[in-house]
Amino acid sequence: MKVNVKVTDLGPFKGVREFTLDSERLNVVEAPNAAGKSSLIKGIAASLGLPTKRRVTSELARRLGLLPNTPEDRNPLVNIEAQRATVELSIDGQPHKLVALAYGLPKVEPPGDERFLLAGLLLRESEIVRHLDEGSDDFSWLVSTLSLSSWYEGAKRIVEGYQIEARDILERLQADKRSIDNYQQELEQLRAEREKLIRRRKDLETQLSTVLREEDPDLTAKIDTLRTDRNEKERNIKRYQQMIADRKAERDRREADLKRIKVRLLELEADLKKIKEQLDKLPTRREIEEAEAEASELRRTTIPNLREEIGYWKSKVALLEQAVQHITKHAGIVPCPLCQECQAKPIGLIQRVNFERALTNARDRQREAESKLAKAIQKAEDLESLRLNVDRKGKELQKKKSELEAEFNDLKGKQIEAKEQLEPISQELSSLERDLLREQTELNEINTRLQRLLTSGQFERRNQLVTALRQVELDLGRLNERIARLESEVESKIKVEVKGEVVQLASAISLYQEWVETLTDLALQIDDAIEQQRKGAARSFNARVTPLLEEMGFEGLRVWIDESSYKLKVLRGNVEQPITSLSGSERHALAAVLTLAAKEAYAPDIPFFLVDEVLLDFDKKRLTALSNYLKETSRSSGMLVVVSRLGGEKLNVRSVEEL
Amino acid sequence: MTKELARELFRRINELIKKEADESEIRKVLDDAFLQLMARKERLEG
Repeated sequence: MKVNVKVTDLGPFKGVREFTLDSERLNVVEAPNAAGKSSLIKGIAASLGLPTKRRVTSELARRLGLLPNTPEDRNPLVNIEAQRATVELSIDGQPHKLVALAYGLPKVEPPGDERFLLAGLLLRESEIVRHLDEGSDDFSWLVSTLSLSSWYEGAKRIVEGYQIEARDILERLQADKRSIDNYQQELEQLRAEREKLIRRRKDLETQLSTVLREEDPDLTAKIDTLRTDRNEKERNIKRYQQMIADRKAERDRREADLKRIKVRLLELEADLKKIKEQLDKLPTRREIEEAEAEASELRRTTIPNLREEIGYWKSKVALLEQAVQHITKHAGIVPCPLCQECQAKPIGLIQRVNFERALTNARDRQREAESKLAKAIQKAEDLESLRLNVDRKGKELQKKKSELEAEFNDLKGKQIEAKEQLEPISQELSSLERDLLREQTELNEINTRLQRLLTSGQFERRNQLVTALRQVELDLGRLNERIARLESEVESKIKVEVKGEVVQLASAISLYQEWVETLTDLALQIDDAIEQQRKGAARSFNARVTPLLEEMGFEGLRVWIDESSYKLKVLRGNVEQPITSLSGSERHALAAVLTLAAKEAYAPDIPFFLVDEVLLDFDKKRLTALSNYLKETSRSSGMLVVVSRLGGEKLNVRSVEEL
Repeated sequence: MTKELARELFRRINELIKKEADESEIRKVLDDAFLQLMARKERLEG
């Protein structure tokens, strides 16, 4: 694979430069100091790895110098004399463009893959290099960032926020419920006390009547009349109170009906909106025609081409299998059995491992082509059946829409009717409350007159009884006042507002209890997902580290991420060692292995691996091993490897063989 | 009922995470779920 790179005003370099990168070679960016090597590598990295959506990778992009440190700072990728820098890549005919503005966020089209910043870049500022340099063995950030675990952690933080809010509200509601229970207990005691006082009043009044009868029979008759009037008024008041309570209950019932209608209407509105959205989303006639044209194109060109490609890979696999068998038979290192030239003029020795790798690659390519063919056939079938599916779906949605609209209109009618029925009840309630007030006023007048008559005589016994009666009336008044206040407190707390709706306190408590339970269950499920993601990521990573260590000549060294602590474990021989025990050059070589493992585990689909400066610290053996591995990988997998090197007189990209 | 709702919420959050959707969409899913729970309880309590 060849990729054309065009850069404009990038880093120290002013003007336009074009380079070609080739997966058939190890591409070396060569330049003297401060001539733009790192800027070129970082520019390519930014065009493949930006923009980042996650906070953690945004910080990494800043540390790598792909973004300014603060929004006010100048972008380090832009030449100091320019207002913008651009990097344009053409990968398999697909253009990628980065426009880095001197100030503000860069624009990348199409958007990059942020995993590339962790798994495709080997720089001094790379996160893996930094951690190893600092001697840190905590690699939980790697499994979190490269897997979906950090997304689940973000979701968990949101759910925890909701849990805290719901628990606070629930505690407040439960405190209100406890207050109401206390008030009601107190109310029961006060009502019992009031009954006792009423009985005492009756007793005193009987005694007073006897005394008064003995004093003046006419007075007794007047008092009796007033008492009869008082009793009648009290009966009337009770009757009115009962009628008012009945009407209020009726009103509450109707209001609850109205609320139910309102809730259902809102649900119907939401459902209708969803159906409308689904109808709007259905493909248009033009899109269907385009799909049919695309299906026809797939049947005519893509599918036959893929079949041809599968045939090609099948024959190549057969040939390579034959070659591997041949080599296995002759064991070890043998002359090339494939090359025509070998028979006439042997050109050298080929390692068996290279054939096996080429065979694996050919099988992968065959499988890949087969998978593409299956997808293309499936896609063609899907596209061909699009018109039929759209018609059927459209009819279903229209039918559902009509049903919902009918229910909606019916309920609207019922809502109007219920509102009309509510009005006379409210009017009747007002009238009853006026009547009750009138009866209470008249009762007060009767009581005043009665008191006046009762206190008109001179006898000591009568005065004692009257004083006692007055005291009872006073106590009764105080009790009634206290009862009314408590009843009003209960009334104010028995209903609460939840999301704009007034509901009973008990219902609100039950609602929030269920909501807290739901959020707790949800948080547990998210915890499981986080753990699964992290373990899976560590496992994929570890599976690639061991063969890479062997390949790079780390004999007797085992390195892996522990699946419970997510710490990087290093074992030399059978002895566990801290990272700090590794030499600086060893840590950088290990960083190269870990970055390559991360690349193979998490970002195999991005065909780039960029290396800057880190290689300067390698000893000759490791440098050779890494170069050989990178050369071989780029040849077998089509990955573009770009490394920087100090040298030459100006910025240039060459093949390692040319150097 | 809560377990069923939690499972449904997890399924929807899972979909959003796989689409790398914005956090505000997760909040919207939770807000909608609370309103649904409220409406369901109101219906049950009549």
